[in-house]
Amino acid sequence: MFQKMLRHRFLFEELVKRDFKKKYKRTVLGMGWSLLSPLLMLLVMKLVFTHFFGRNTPHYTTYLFCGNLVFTYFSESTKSGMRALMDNSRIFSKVTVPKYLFLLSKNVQTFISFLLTLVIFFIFVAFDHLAFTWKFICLLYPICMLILFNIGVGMVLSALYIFFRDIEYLYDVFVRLLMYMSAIFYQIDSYGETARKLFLLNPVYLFIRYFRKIVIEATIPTVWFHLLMLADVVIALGLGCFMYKKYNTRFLYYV
Amino acid sequence: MSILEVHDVSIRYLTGDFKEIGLKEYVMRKLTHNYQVNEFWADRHVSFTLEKGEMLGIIGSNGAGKSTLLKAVSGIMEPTEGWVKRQGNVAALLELASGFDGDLTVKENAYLRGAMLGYTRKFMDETYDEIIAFAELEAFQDRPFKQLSSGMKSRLAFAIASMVQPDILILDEVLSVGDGAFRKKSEAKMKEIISGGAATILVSHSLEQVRELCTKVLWLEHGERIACGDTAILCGLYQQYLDKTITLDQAKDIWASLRGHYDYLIVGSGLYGCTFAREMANRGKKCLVIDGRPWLGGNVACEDVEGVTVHRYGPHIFHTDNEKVWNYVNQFVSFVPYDGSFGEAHQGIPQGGYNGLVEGLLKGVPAVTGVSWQMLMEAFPNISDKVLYTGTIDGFFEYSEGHLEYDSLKIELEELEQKCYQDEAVVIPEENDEEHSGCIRVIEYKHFLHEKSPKTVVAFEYPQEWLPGRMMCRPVRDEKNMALYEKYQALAAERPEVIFGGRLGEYKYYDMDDAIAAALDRAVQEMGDAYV
Repeated sequence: MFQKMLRHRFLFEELVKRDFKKKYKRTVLGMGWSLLSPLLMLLVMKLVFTHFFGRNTPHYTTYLFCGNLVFTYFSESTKSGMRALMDNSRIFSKVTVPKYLFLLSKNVQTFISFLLTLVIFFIFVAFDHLAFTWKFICLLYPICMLILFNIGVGMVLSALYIFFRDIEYLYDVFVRLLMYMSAIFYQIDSYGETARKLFLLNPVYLFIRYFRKIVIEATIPTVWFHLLMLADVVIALGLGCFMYKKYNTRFLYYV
Repeated sequence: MSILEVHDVSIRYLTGDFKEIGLKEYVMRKLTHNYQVNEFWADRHVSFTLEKGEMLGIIGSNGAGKSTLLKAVSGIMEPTEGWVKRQGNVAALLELASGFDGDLTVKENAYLRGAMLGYTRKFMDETYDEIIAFAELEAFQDRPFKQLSSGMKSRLAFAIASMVQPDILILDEVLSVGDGAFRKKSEAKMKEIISGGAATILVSHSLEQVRELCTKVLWLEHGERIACGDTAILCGLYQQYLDKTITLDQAKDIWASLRGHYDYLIVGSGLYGCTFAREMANRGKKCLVIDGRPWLGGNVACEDVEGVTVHRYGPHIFHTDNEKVWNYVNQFVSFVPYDGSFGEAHQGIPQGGYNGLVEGLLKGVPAVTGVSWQMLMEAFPNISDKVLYTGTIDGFFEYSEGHLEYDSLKIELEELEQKCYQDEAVVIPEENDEEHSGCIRVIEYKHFLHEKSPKTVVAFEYPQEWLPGRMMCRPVRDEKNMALYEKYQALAAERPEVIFGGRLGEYKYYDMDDAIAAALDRAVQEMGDAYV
């Protein structure tokens, strides 16, 4: 068992290395791009939306950054995860390897980008005159949950992508719609009670909300909030694992 | 306990289902009532077992289901029906050069591949230099992989994959990588792994390789198991199938008949062997005829060339004074009279050539082409109680006393774009043109049966010294050769279960009628009865 773990570790490391090299090959900025693109996005949003939404929102830059930080990680991770199986189909149709390794490798990549952006985020927070309280430690919870959530969604998407190529375009549209529904640049206070509750059904909104609560409002969300998030993660991950298990040997019929 | 057991494995692909055609097609076809899912069985009820140290060759045309079967064996794919049991670890080398990443360097790819094959980093660190040296890629280590030639890629793949010592090794078209020198090296490496006790499965389009390496063969066609067993015989049958001299069904029948047990095995399908087979079959004996050549009839066999019936081994004109033999052959085929004179009561050539006569004689008797005596004895040594051997008697004893000598002829066939070359079938030229100098006889085959082909086929015969392997005509039968023959006869006396008969078996020239008469006599002698 231990030997098996060690063996997969080596493969996993090599896959991560490969994915990194392939992603940033022959680019001048390399990893810099994964920082630059959310920052540019932030800049544009700040310039455009401050006029409309920023006036009534305290710490609007941080407010925006919370949304962008989470949403970029989510969309990058799930989009690249979607192709993980297909891109490696030539490997798993020749060698028996655990197929989730390909997905995890892509997720490692996006997670590192996320971490780098997170560092920048904290710098912004400091400049925004927000205090670093002990409650920041609670951010570990949404981060861990987001990692697992992204993996779960990635599993579902990558499995679907093998059987159903249209999902690529469908998901693209979906992600764009989701962005507008995740309250990244606006506040939901002006909506009615029911509408505000509906926002809670959006898992991405939950993650964003958690960040804002801790960083801007310095309050810890309720236990129910935590459980709701956990439920989303369990559903996504459970569905992903179920699909991988069920179709493990069927994937290669369709690649 | 077999190291690998494949039991009744079937693998099905579905085509045209929702997952394959996508949403738009699906809706379209549903609307037009055109939606249907087709199933395609890549393998159907395939079973075999493999023991330690064995090497199984899988042969079959493209699309026979070989690669799919290997995927099931290696566990990449799960069979739709049936099961695969493996004892020990499997290393599968499938279509080696694919699965590499063009953007990574040679070294990075080597590590990645090693990781995929389940090696540890430590193992890769230790063996990396050896791998690169084996693949002869020392100068390319840091080059992007896509700059390598396809031969180099395969070499690297082979070098990495062959670092293992698996219990079950699966090779799909991998031994034919690289140039000649590397091929030798990789074969040697493979043999080393096999001799280490691995059970090996080899898929190769090179029949030579299969013949040389494999201890048994599985023949698949359209996903179905045609046969599984002896390498030499199955490769021979497969070659005949590829050459289109036998059909798949015939191959199956042949394989089935080889696995029976017979009263008489008749080696050689010339007139002597065929007549003997007919007679014994008429007397209720179970007979099997084999011939090492890919056709039946031995030296009387004919072939159709451009609508002309050509005798493969020079002109055969049937002539006899023996009424019994003449009536006998006329049961099977009618004769076209021959105008030249041998001064005998009957002379002619069978309508349509001698193949009809051979077919008539062998009606209802299983006959196998392309299987030599040696091949058969290796695979099924106990196939019959008695043997009629009509091959060379010296060959039977592996030339232990030396070679018996024969007269020989060289026959050169020419297809000519003209209606007619000469007025008669057989002409002995008084003088030759330059091109045919030394020719002693010219045969124009179409005259024998008055065939109307717009083209003609002419044979020019030249004398030639006999050497082993060349065409054997008349036994020399001089003092020296007869002394040698007596030695072989003495050896033959120690093998009472083997009857030596015919021109080569008895080292004695037989005209066709004499061969038939002798075979009829032999059958009587064998059974201790009279003609039936």
